[in-house]
Amino acid sequence: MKARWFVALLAMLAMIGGVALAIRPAEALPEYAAQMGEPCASCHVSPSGGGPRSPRGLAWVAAGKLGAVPDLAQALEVLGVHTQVNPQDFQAPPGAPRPAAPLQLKQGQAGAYYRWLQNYPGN
Amino acid sequence: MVKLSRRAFLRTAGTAATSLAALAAAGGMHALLEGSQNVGPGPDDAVAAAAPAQESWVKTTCALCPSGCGLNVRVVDGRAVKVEGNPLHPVNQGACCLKGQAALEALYSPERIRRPLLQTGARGGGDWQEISWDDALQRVAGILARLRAAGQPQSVVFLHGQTRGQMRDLIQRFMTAYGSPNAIALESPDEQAARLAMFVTQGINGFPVYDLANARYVLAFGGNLLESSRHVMAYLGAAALMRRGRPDRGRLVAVHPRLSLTGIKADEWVPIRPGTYAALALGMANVIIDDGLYDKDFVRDFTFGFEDFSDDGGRAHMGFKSLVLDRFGPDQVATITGVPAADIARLAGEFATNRPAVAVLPLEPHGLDDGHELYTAMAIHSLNALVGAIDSSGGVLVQRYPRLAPWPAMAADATARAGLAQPRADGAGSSDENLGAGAAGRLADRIRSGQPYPVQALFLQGVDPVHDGSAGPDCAEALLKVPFVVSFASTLDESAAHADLILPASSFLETWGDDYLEGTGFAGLSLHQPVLESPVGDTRDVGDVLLQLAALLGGPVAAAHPWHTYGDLVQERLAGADVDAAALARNGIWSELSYPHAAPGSPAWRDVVGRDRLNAPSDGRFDFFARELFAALETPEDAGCLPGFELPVAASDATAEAYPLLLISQGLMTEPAGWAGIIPSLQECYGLQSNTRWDSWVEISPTAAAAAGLASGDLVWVESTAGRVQARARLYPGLWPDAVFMPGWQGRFTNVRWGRGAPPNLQVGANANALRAGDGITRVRVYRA
Repeated sequence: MKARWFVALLAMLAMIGGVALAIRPAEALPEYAAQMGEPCASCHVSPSGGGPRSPRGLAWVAAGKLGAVPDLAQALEVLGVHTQVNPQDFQAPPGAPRPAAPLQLKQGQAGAYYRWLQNYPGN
Repeated sequence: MVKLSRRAFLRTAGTAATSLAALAAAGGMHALLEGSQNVGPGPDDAVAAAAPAQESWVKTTCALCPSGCGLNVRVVDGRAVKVEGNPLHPVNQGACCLKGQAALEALYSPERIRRPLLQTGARGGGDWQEISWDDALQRVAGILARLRAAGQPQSVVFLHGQTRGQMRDLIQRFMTAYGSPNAIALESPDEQAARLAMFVTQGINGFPVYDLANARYVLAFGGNLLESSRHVMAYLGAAALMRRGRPDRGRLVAVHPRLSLTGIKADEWVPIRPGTYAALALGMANVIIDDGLYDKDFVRDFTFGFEDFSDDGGRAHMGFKSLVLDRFGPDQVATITGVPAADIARLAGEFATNRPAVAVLPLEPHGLDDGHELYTAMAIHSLNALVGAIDSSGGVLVQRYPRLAPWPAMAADATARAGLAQPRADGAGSSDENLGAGAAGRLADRIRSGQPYPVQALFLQGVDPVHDGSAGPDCAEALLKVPFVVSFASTLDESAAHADLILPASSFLETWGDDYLEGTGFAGLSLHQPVLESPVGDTRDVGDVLLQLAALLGGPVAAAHPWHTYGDLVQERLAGADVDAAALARNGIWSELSYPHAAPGSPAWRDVVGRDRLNAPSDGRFDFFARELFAALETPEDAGCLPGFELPVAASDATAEAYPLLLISQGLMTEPAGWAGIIPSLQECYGLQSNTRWDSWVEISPTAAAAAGLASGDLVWVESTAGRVQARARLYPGLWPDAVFMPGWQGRFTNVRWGRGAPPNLQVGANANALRAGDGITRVRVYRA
C-alpha cells in the first residue's frame, strides 16, 4: 500500500516537474542563444535575456530569425539607423561655464505665448 | 539616403518572406541569407510556412492611446482577424496591451457610424438622416464660405483632442489659411502643466521623457505611470528592465492617495493627502538642500534662481533655496501632506543619494488634479535639477524628432489676416490666460456668454467634451448655442449627439498616416497604413476631409493644400532628409535607436535646456526661478515665478461639511483614449483591481465607509454640487481616508444591446466627470441609494 502511494507520489511529482519544465515565458528562449551560439545579451538589453531587444536582436527578428545574428553594422543597416550626430557636440567644452544672464522685465509680450506654445513638435 | 517613393510608401512589409526579400535587397545581408534557416516560433514564421496567398500581416501603429505602439495585424481574405505587437517597434517591442488586442472590436463595432449623418430635428433629439459625402461636404463648405465672405472666419472653431503625426499641423494650417485663430487643442490641465513646466523651467516646449531603464531611483508623483501614462508601454518595459533585467536593481516609488496597479508594482507606495504633491516635492527639496545632498556643481553652473539674487534694476528676488528652507520644513510638510516627516526625510535622502534618480510628472488627465498644476509640476520637476538629472542617463530626456520635408509656403489673404488678428475664442493670449493653459477648458463658458464674439461653426475632432469635461451639461448648452456643429465622431458620443452633422472618421486601421515615436527620447517615425482594402463603412479620414473642404473652398485655402489625399501629404513630409524610407516601409518603424546625452555646457546642451525660450535668455540654465514666467506675468512677483504649493480650494472650501470626501481619479489600462464607443473585451475586464465589469464602482476607505454605514456592494449615490451618480461601493484600504475614487471613462450611452451582463439601460456605468464643477479636486458625499 505504501509502495503504491510512493509510486503515485513520484508520478505526480514527475508530472508537475514536466509541466513546470514545459512552461516557459514566451519571450525567454535560451534555445535561441544555443542555436545562434551567442549569449542572451547579443539580442537583449538584459544580460539574462528576455525583455527589450538590442539593435542586433531587433534586426534578427526583422530578418525573420535567420541562422545568424547580424553584427551591429548589419543590424543598423536593416533597421535604418543613421544618426547624423557629431559626438563632439555632446562633450562639455573646457573652461568655465557661461554666467547667467540677468533677469530683465519684459512686460507686454504675453500675447505671443499661446501661439508659441501651441506649436510644439511631436504628436 | 533612400528617397521615399510612392511605391515604397505603399508597400506592405509584413510577412517574413517580404522582410527576407527586402533584406536581401538592402545589401550587406547576403551572408546572412546564405545557408540560413528560420528558427523558432512566431507569427511571421507561421505565416511564411503555411500561409495561403490571401493571408498577410500588416504593420501599422495603434491610436487607442498616446503610446503609439507598433502593431502587426493579421489579415485573412481581406478581413483583419488578429492584432499583435510589432517586435521591431522600440516602444512596445512586440508587446501588445489589451487595448491593442481589442482594436478589431472597435474596427468592426456595431456602434460605428457608417456614413454621414444629418440631424433633421432639434439638436440633440436624435433624428438622424444618412446623406452622401458630397452632400455633407457641400453643406460644410457652403457655410464656411459664407462666413468667410462675411468677414467672420474667426467665428469658426476647430476643437481637437489627441492627434498623431502630421495631423495637428494640418489642422492648424487649414484654420490659418481659412483665417481663424481657433485651432484649439483640448488638453487636460495636467498634460498642459507638464509641458508648461518643461517650458518655463527647462526652456523646452514639449513633454518630458524619463529614462526609467537606466534610473536607480524613480519617484512617480500622481497619475498612474504603469497603467495610463502617455508613454505607458515604453515605461512598462523600461520599469521591468530597471527592476528585474539589470544587475543593479532600481527602486520605484509611487506617490498617490490611492494604491493603483502602479503602486502595487512599485517597491513602495507613499499615500498622500489629495492635492499636496507640490508640498511633498518642496519638502524633499528642503531636506536635500539643508543636508547638502544636491548636485552643487550642476546647480551653481547650470541653473538660475537657486540662491537669492538681484535683477538688472537692482531689485532683490527670492531664490528657490530660501523658498524651500523658509516655508517647507519636513514637519510643516508632514502636516500638509499627511506623509510623516521621517518618511519625507528618508525619501529625500534616497532620492538624492541613489543617482541617477528621476522625479516623474504624470502626463495624463487627472494626473495631478489640484487646481494649481503648473506650480505643482514645477516643484516636482525642480527635484530633477537638484540632482543634475537633466538629459543624463537615468534622468529627464528631451524627445528628439526627425527633420521632415518643410511645409510648402502659404500666403494668407486679407480676409485670413484679419481673422487671425482676432483674439482666440477661448481667451488664450488674453491678460488672464496669457499662457493659454487651461483656456480651452473654458471655451464652453465663453461660447455661452458670446465672448469675445459669437461662435458660428464648431468642429469636434477626437473630443467629447459633454462626457469628458467638467460640467458636461454646460458643454451641451454651449454646443446648442453654436448655429452649426460638425463632429468627426466614429460613434454617436454625447457631444456628437448635439451636432448638426456627423462626418464619421475612419479607424486608424483604415487610413494612411504617421506617428512620431515618443517616450524613448530618440527620433523615430511609425507608419499608419490601412489593414483593409476599403473602410468598413463609408467613412473617411479626417485629413482627407480637410483637404476636400479646402478644395471646395478654393482660392488661398485650396492653394495652401496642394495634396489630393492625406496619404500624399504624409508621403511628401516623410520624404525629408532624416528618414530612412526603405526601413520605414519594411519595418513599419524607423528610429535612431540611440540617445546621446548632452554634457552640460556642450553645444548640444542648447537643444535640451533653453532651446524654445521666447522671452527668457537661452543661456543653458535650468530656471528654478522661471524667467519666462517673469516675462509673461503682468505684475511678476517672486512667488509667481517659483515652484509653489497652495492648498486646493476644494480642500478648505465652505462645502467641506456637507461634502466631506475628495473625489480623485486615475486612468486605467482598460480605457481607450480616442475612442468613445463600447469595446466589449475591455468592458469584460474594465476594473482589473476591483473585478468590476460593464459598470462603475466607487472606492471608499473602510474608515469613511464605517462613518457612513456602508459596506462593499452597497448601491450608493456619489453627490457633488454639480450632480450625482450611482455606483456600487467598494471598501478599499488602499485609499486616503477622506478620498473617494471613481473611474473616469464609464457612463457612456450606447444604442447597442451588448448582452452578456450588459446592464439593461443604455448607459454603461456612471460618468464620474458629471460630478466635477471645474479643474482640481471635487468634494463629494456618499450615501446609500
